[in-house]
Amino acid sequence: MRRSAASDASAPLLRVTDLTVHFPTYQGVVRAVENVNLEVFPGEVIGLVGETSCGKSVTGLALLGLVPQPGRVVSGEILFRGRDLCKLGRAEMREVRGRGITLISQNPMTSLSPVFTIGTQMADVVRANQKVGRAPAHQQSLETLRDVAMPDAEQVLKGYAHELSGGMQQRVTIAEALGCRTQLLIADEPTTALDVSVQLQILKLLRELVAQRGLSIIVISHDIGIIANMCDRVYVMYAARIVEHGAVHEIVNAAVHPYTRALIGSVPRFQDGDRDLVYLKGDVPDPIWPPPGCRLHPRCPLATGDCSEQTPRMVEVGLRHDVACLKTEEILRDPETRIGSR
Amino acid sequence: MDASKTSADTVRKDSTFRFVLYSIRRSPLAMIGIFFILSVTIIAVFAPYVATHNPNKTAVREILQPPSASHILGTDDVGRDVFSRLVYGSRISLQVAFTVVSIASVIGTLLGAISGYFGGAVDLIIMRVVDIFLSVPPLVLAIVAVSVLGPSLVNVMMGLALVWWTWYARLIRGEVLRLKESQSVLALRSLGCSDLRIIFAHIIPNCMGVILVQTTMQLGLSILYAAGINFLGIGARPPTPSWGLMISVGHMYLPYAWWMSVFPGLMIFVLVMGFMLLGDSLRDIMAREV
Amino acid sequence: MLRFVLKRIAITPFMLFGVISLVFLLTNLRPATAIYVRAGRFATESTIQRLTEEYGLDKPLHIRYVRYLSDVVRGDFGKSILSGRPVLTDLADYLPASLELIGCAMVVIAIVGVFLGMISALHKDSFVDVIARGFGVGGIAVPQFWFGIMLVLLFFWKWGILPAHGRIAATLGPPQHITGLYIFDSLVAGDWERLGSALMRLILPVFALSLSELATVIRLMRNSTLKLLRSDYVLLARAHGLSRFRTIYVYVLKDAVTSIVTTLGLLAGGLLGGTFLIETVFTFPGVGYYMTNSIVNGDPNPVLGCVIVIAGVYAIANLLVDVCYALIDPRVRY
Repeated sequence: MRRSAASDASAPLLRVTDLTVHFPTYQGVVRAVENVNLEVFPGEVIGLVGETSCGKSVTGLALLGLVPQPGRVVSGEILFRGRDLCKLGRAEMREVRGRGITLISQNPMTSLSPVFTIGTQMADVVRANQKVGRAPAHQQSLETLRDVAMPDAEQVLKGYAHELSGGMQQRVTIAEALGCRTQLLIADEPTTALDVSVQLQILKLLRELVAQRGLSIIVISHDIGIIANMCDRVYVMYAARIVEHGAVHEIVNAAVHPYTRALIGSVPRFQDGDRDLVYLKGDVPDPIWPPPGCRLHPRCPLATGDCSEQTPRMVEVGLRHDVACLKTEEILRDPETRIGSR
Repeated sequence: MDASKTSADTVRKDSTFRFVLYSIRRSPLAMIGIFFILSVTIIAVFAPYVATHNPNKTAVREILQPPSASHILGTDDVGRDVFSRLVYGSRISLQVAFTVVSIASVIGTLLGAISGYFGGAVDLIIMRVVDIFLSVPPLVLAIVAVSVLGPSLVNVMMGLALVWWTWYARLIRGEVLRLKESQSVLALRSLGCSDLRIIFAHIIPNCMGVILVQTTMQLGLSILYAAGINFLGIGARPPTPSWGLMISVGHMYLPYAWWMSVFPGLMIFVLVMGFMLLGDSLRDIMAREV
Repeated sequence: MLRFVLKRIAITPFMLFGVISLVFLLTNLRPATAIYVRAGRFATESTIQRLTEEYGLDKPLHIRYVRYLSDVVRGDFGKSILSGRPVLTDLADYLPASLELIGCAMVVIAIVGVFLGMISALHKDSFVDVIARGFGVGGIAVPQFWFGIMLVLLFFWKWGILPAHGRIAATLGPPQHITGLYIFDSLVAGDWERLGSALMRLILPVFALSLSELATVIRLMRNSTLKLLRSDYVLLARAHGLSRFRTIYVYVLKDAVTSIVTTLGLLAGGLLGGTFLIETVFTFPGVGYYMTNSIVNGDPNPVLGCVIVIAGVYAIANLLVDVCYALIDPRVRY
């Protein structure tokens, strides 16, 4: 287990309770995030995994108070170091952004302004979060660039975003995020737009930063492989809800929820030999008119009558391992239960 | 790229065309634009029935009359009915717009196609000529052209055509160059398609979207520019009921006979606005369609 | 980049040569009726003959062409038949007026256009936005000269609050001549009365002149800003703790302005054309007024001189715009 020993006893850095985010649109209300609960401890790397448009990115944005219009946080509590972010005013929220929580995004090319030098942007970020002059800010930027193993840091600072490769751009955004002296980094699909070889480098970099600085990271991804690689604990999201949560090795090896199992099973793994790929029939539900009860029931092979009537609650099935499924007992009794089609 | 592209092309053209029509109907601004244009067109076509008086009939005893029951929009400096002149003026504006754009597009397309197709010295010369025309601001060029040709409505149309042709020339030349060596053209050639046919059946339809938008805008701009040139007194001669000319005369009688200046301007605005709204909507539709 | 600029400067004389030749040929195909205007109603044959010789109009076309070109190269643009003065002298009077008019219009468009466009995008669908959008579409369709006349009708005739003719109050006369730009000259001389008068007389013409270009800039800025507000770096800048103010009014603003810089060249062209109409409406003694007058009266030399000057100014404006663009947008490299 990679979790630092101290974090068992300490209070969580972040505790999200019952978060719900809605987007009122012409066609109806899009329920992007519903009753999401999660926790992050200092020095932890949490994974938030799920398919596209399951609400994971919106969850990340909600933590920062940057949910785009017309979205609104409808209910819930976001306790960051004891303060409820939902109740903060604009100026206070601005303080939290940067020094408390910050974000890196999936497309490095568009993450940086094309019309200002890298140095200007990085210095701006430093100065937005610390009261320093321009020269010290520049010096700090230089140091953070070197921390992320950027070759020729001086030149990079004088140059522009379009002069760098994708991998280097992502390093710059990470360095920029570090310049905030942040405590919680939300990494939204940090490697999706990068070449595979570069992906590994970036992930390695992030792990080093956690070890060196005690940074906490929430990795948001649809790629269970990256999550398995990076994270200590994982939250699985489906259709705006958390369906399972646990330590990474439990999720990967002993997942309980049908969706999680399908997710794990859908990844071809070398050691599985000649195993057929697993997949669930059907499509992700309509976010405006989701199915009643358990969101997965139209696609779930284990679904029965109550699945469409009752909303499953999170039930503990092991040490720090919770599942929201009405068929939990059944699955636990027979771990070889076939999930999904072959 | 297969050789049966011709039939596929036709199918695509059809559905694109229908899609455009459909989108136009769904867009309120486009419909307003079409409404304006159609209204003026109908007035122009049925001018003799819409006008209340003979637009050229002067009446010394009725000069500079404000709007009244007998002359809805008043009379001008020689007693002619302003409303009737406005009505007949719509014919002039529409004629100018369509003539100018027709001439410009034909000449421009021709020269652009020749330039792109033959290349070499021909291309160089034509492009230098285009550059010379573009080195002067458009309205100024039109004014110079009209000044050279002499004051008349026809010359205004010629002059304006000289301004717009360069756009077509550059566009078509670009398309020709781009497609000259493309697979589809080579395939067509190997089938024995004549070059002329290639130009008309393939190259032009390819840029139809862009041409449509620009043409609509140019129709509107031609009316504006023509009115401006007529206003300066170097274009249409009296007693032509050109709106621009009416304003120029009205200008002399400010502030008394304000109706002579106000109403023609409003007409220009309505008609040009129609083309602009339509052109704008078309631009959005084309962007979406791509 | 220096090479680029030099190349452009080198091409310009050739362009001008082409323009001059073309226009010379064409203008001189028509009789110079100004001779008759100048000679007056009671002119005799001998007067006409004398004038014709004086202006070299009796010589065949090709000789006049060569003569003209050699004169132009030496800076002699010939004489105006109507005024009897060298065209260059006339232009020294008329050009600064137009430059002042256009300059003020550009300033207004740049400032008002950019900010109104941005604010319209920031407060999408609000009252301000609706007005700005309506203006953005309608402003182009309004005939500039007619708008000018409406302004004169309202502000001068009806309400009498703004002057509408000429460059400065007739009772005051122009400020001490340094450049011919009244604003600059009166500022330098500390002549506040004349400065005020000149500025007052610029208000209406500048407003009328900038109308359609202003509408275009507002539209472009609005669209550009709307697009940029959705970009990743804006979100990230906020996530890193930057204030909303800085993100929008420094980052988005610069990006948006950069994207519309290239259209400024066309703007200059539109303004140059517009001066013809506006100067006529407001009897503003500028190049447009001078050239229109010469055209109507059949005076070829001033027409040519004006065309050369206008083409030259247009070329300079376009070059400046391209240079500015290269300087502002770091993605562009010549």
